[in-house]
Amino acid sequence: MKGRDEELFGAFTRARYPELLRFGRVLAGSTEGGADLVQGALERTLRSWSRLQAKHDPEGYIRRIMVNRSLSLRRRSWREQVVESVPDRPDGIPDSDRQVWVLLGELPARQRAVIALRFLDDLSVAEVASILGISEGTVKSQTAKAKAHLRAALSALIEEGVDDGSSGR
Amino acid sequence: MMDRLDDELTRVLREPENPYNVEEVLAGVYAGRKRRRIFLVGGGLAAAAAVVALILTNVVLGQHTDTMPSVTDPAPSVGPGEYLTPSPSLAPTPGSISPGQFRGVTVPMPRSGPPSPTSRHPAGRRT
Repeated sequence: MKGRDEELFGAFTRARYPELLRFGRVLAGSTEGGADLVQGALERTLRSWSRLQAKHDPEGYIRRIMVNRSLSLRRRSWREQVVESVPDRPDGIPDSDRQVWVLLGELPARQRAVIALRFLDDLSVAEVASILGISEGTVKSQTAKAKAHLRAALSALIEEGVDDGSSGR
Repeated sequence: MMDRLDDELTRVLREPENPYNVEEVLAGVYAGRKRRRIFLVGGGLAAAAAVVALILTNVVLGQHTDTMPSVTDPAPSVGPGEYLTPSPSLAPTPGSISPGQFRGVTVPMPRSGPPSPTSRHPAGRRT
């Protein structure tokens, strides 16, 4: 890779890493898993950086890699040992929010991908269906199932917001 | 209620949390590229070594075939009225094959008597 390309890749990564990590965190259900997804996608992107830059859409390519990888990783998830909490997880997240993340981690990978694309990237049902290669009806049903799983934690959040009067939206 | 659920979900998902130093991430990405190059070069060298070993093995084994008769060897000459006789080593030794037998399997001799009423070949031979 030429010096100029490396410089541009570095600038892109510095600018977009927080957003990519947020996306990966939802896809993987944990910050650590999300960071792994981003790292793997960036390594692949680096190999074809010149070509992607010519197309002006490196981020779309990275996100697609992350979605595909998260789906394929979960297929062999039986090898992984899921732990309830990771010791080095930073503090500062409210318990109620943490509960949402715990429940999110319990969802199937496809449901998490649907949630990430719809609620984080604000994509339409049709766009999500196109990215994941599934029907719009499946996107809707997967969204409904995921939200039903998260509902208890989310309802608690809403109640807390009502009690505190601090619920913004 | 559903809208508020959606809003809460969006808020939680967008809550910023980045415990990682992006410079360290970049260093990891570049290190990953380096590891991949080493893997590819190492794999290429291993494949090349395997091919060379295969070629050498074939050369060594191929030397044994030099004693095999070649199709270009001249055929034994046979003059008019002469017959090629089999090599004495191919001739059966006494007791190795008895009459009516071929390699231990008894071959039925041709019938000499009248054909059996159930025989499908009254002449005693297959047509």
